[in-house]
Amino acid sequence: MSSQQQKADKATEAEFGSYYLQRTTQELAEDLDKVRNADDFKADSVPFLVRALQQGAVQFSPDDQKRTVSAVKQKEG
Amino acid sequence: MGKRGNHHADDPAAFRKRQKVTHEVPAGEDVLSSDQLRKLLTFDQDLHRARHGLSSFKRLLDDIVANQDDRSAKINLLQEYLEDVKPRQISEDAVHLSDIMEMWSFAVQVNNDGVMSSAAVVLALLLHVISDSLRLVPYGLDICRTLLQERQLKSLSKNLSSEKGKGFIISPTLRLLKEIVSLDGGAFAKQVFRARSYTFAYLGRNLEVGNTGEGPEDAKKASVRTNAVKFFLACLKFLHSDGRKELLTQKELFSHLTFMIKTDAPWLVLEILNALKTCVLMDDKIPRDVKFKSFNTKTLTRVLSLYTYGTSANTDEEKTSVADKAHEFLLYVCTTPEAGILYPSTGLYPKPESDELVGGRRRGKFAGVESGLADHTFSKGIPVFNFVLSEFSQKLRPWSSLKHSELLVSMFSVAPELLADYFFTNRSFTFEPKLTMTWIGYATFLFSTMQLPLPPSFGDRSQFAHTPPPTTILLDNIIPLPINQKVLVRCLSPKSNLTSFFATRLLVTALEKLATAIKMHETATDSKDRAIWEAASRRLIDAFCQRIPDMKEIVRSYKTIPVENYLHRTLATRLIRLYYEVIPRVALAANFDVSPFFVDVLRSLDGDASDAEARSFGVMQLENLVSIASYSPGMRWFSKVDNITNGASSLPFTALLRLLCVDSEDSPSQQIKKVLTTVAVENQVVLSTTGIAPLLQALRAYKSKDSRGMVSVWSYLDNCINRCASSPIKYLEMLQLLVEETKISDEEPRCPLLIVALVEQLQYLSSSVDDSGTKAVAKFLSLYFNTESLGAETPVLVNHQYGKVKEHFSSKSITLKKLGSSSDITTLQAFESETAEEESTPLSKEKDETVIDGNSLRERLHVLIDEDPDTNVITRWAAKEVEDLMEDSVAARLVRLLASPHVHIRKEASTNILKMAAKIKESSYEEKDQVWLLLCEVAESSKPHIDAGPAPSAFVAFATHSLDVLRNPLHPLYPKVNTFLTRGPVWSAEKLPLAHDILHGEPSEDDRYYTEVTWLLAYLLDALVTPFDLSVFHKKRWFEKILSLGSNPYLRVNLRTRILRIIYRATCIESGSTTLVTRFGIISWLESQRALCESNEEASVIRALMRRIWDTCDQKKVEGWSRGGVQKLIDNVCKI
Repeated sequence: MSSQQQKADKATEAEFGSYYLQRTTQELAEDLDKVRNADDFKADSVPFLVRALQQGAVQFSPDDQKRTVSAVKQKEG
Repeated sequence: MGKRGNHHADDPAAFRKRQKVTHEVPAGEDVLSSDQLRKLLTFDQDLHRARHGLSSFKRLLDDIVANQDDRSAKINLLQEYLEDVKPRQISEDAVHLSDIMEMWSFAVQVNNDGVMSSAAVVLALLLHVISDSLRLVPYGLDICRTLLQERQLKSLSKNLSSEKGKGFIISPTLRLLKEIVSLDGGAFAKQVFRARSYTFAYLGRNLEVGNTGEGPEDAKKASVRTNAVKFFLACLKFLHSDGRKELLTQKELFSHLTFMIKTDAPWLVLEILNALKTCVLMDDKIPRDVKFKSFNTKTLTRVLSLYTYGTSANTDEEKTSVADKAHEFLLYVCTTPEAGILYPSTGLYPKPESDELVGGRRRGKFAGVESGLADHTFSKGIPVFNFVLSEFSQKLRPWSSLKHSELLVSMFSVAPELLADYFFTNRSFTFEPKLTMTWIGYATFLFSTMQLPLPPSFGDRSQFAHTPPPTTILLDNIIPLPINQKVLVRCLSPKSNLTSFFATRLLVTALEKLATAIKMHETATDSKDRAIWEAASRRLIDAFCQRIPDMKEIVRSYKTIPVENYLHRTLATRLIRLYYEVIPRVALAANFDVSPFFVDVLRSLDGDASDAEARSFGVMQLENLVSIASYSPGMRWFSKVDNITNGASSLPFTALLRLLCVDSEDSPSQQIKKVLTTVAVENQVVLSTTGIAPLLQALRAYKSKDSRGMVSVWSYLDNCINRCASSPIKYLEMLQLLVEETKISDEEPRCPLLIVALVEQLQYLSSSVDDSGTKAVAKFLSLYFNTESLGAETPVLVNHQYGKVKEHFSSKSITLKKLGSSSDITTLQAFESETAEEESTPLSKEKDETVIDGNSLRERLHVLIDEDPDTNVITRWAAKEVEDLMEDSVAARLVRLLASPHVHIRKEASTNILKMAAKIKESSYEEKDQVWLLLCEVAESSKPHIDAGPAPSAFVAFATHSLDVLRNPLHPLYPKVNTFLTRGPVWSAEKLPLAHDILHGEPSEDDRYYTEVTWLLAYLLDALVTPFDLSVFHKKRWFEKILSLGSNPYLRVNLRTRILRIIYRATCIESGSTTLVTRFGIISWLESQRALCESNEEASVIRALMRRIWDTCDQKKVEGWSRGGVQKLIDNVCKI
């Protein structure tokens, strides 16, 4: 049970992580375009940028993450 | 490739040019028998023939290696040959393969490159073949023994020392050495190493003779360096720990090994890193200092350069695998204590400058508070144990590489001492916001750094038991140095959502970490050091507040976030909430009215307009805003707001209740429930024992049955709650009448005021709703009364009121079931578990006072007086900028010197205050005039006093506290302080400046009265230090005024504590306690306060304070004055 629970938590965490990334990309789209056009933006900057945006996901508690993930699922379908 | 024509040799230019060395290797012949081979290899001074023999032997060996069909036959032939040429007498000196050895030796003497090379090639190949075949190994051992004899060693050395360009001689020799070292599990490794004057000849140089050709190195034609590296690695592998240690200490060898690592083939790089890890770092028998010398900053930086390994010739896969391996390697080196590079350190406690052990504990220059560890500033850098890692960390570029960032953060996590040191040293890189990848990279790195938890016991248990860590270091761990107020304000500017979003995230993390640190300060201490820890905690908070933007910046930023950016908005509300929770004084200083935001979010959540995703963030935002509202005194919970739910007006309180009913299990909104309960209990709408749980249960149950009827229920409930909260006295009186009517005893439970209001308002119900509405309300009331009467017995009052409800509805021909009917109970039970679990009962109190002794009373109420303030400020202030004089409280520190016990310091201070005032007046500082006036007035007012003794504490206290006010024009006291300053140039020593205006005058803003009082009490505490101050307080009846302020029942605990602190301070002054008792009746005042106390702890504190007053007063005089009454009272109180 506990390992199943852990698996479920991991899955929620991953889903929330990708949702958070998508959300931040959407909210900050305008500025991100400017960053992409900056001189120091290279091909290998993409993973760095992804990490930069996504790292804030840890600031949300497991409960909030779960709540959001289920709300997103509900919205999708 | 053809050989150059001979005619070139005659050309003089040929000698000037560097000749390309080519060597033609004779092909040799097929060997069919051992006899033939023996003949071919017979020593002959004709080196051409010798070479032919060696080439034939090589052909045979190549065939064996190539693993053709007749391999075993050829191995048999080889064995036969080896057996044939075995010396007759077997001894240590016996020479095996004597013909070849002799040929080689002869070739060395006559400098014949061809044979020197061929001999090494053949021997290397032979040992290679032998090591693959178990039965040949004994021959191999003999050959190795022979090779380690002096003549052969000389040949080896001669081969190795050939010119750089003669790789064809050096490479096979190195291969031969590698084979010798590896044979039979390294049987000869030690001997080879022992003979290093021969075997390691020119190894340093050879390690740097790299691939000369263009493009990547051909695997079949390995460079001298490759062979040398392989030999070196074989030595590392097969030597035991002592040998490895010696190998590593060979002059510069290790440096030669890593110097060219970036140009090595990928497979070789991986091999080097693997060998270094397994044979050096993981070998715990190699002493730490040897590892430490080898893996210095230079070596680490070379490995670091592999992160950008590769040229266009390498495939992407190769590049990545090398970079990954190097990263893994460095992570291991820098974060594993067993690797020997990471040194045990003491977390946030810096390395003592003189490192000595006292009583088993490391105690150095910084140890102990006496030497000022906690407030030590490290102007010359922070001493660390891990100086190598500290140096290496400065080579990293965490803003431009994810791997660098990861590595550095991992280093910080294992050696927290490095964090503050890193930012202290690396000041060139600023955090000025720019929309570039570098800025984002730096922000990412800073965020990861701040996410690191504070180490337990701040990293050193033994020092933790004695003293808090230095504030500056702890602060840098919470909010790194590059993040300062100025930069953050720029980040939060509305120009960019991205920088503002990142700054918000950073601030949230910082505040959460600060809260943890404060908690660690609170729990750290045993009673003895409590004052020190408290002072450290205060200092930390002060310093932190100077690093972060004001609340108004945060609010401004929040307001500019577009509504559709709900993730960003949620985070911003969380930040505001953290301001209120962690640093309330900063939060409360800004006059933030949360109501409009609160209502906006409520509206956005209303109905089905918002999608589930936005809704879930809306709830999170609301949770934060509700908490903020609960902290801000101006929140109007019970005033109707238009268009808040379904276009109708409603109380914010009811709107939140609705939300709680709508929300399903996956969004329990505990926070909202908690705040609503507190608000409802404070306003006496519901009982403190049950909170809003029964109401919520009934609402949820009813909603599940009939959601359409909810419209009428909400409207009715909204009305009743509104009435109940706005005119509680009316309902309290009605409740009292009911109590008398039903004649219930005092122990019987009461019913909530809401019930009284609900029943009272029934008579107006029919005018506002239709029949179906009336039915809905009736059904809801029946459920609600049921929830209020769940339990062992139905409360009499609830029952009584329910009777009235039944009666009312029966007149409308609606019949209600009696309380406890099974259908109602079943409906309610479905919603029971959810409501039962969360109710905490901190609201009910039990009297259980604990005993507080003199020491713990001192910890709680005693505020240290700085008796020996820092006098350096007299000389140092002149060098500072005017802004710094104000921001760093330099001016305040100078003013404090007026109270110094030494007359010359007071005089110096007075002169310097006037000089400083003049400097400020001439500057462009915004508040320069007021500050000038304040400083001049304090200096002038003190002048008549400082010759005789310290200036009155009230002057100093008023001036220092007012400086903070003048710095901030938004401070509620700003107008009052300015008016006071312009009133007259000199203050009266018999009065407390401005105090009267604050306590008795109108507050400058309606809702800022308590903020002003808080300021006043802090100032009064500082104004009471000497017996002279006491006499001013006495004569001007300030104690009376303070005590009557303390009698205000709405005063919050922290303000009451401030008053108790002033009383405690008075008891510390000579005859203070006696004055308090005989002139101000303090004992009976305290006794009445104790009786009114809601918290047991507070009551205990008051009791201990009474005891202290008794202990410190002139008991005889007091006894006479009270005729024994005081002692009797004290005895009675302390008996409890």
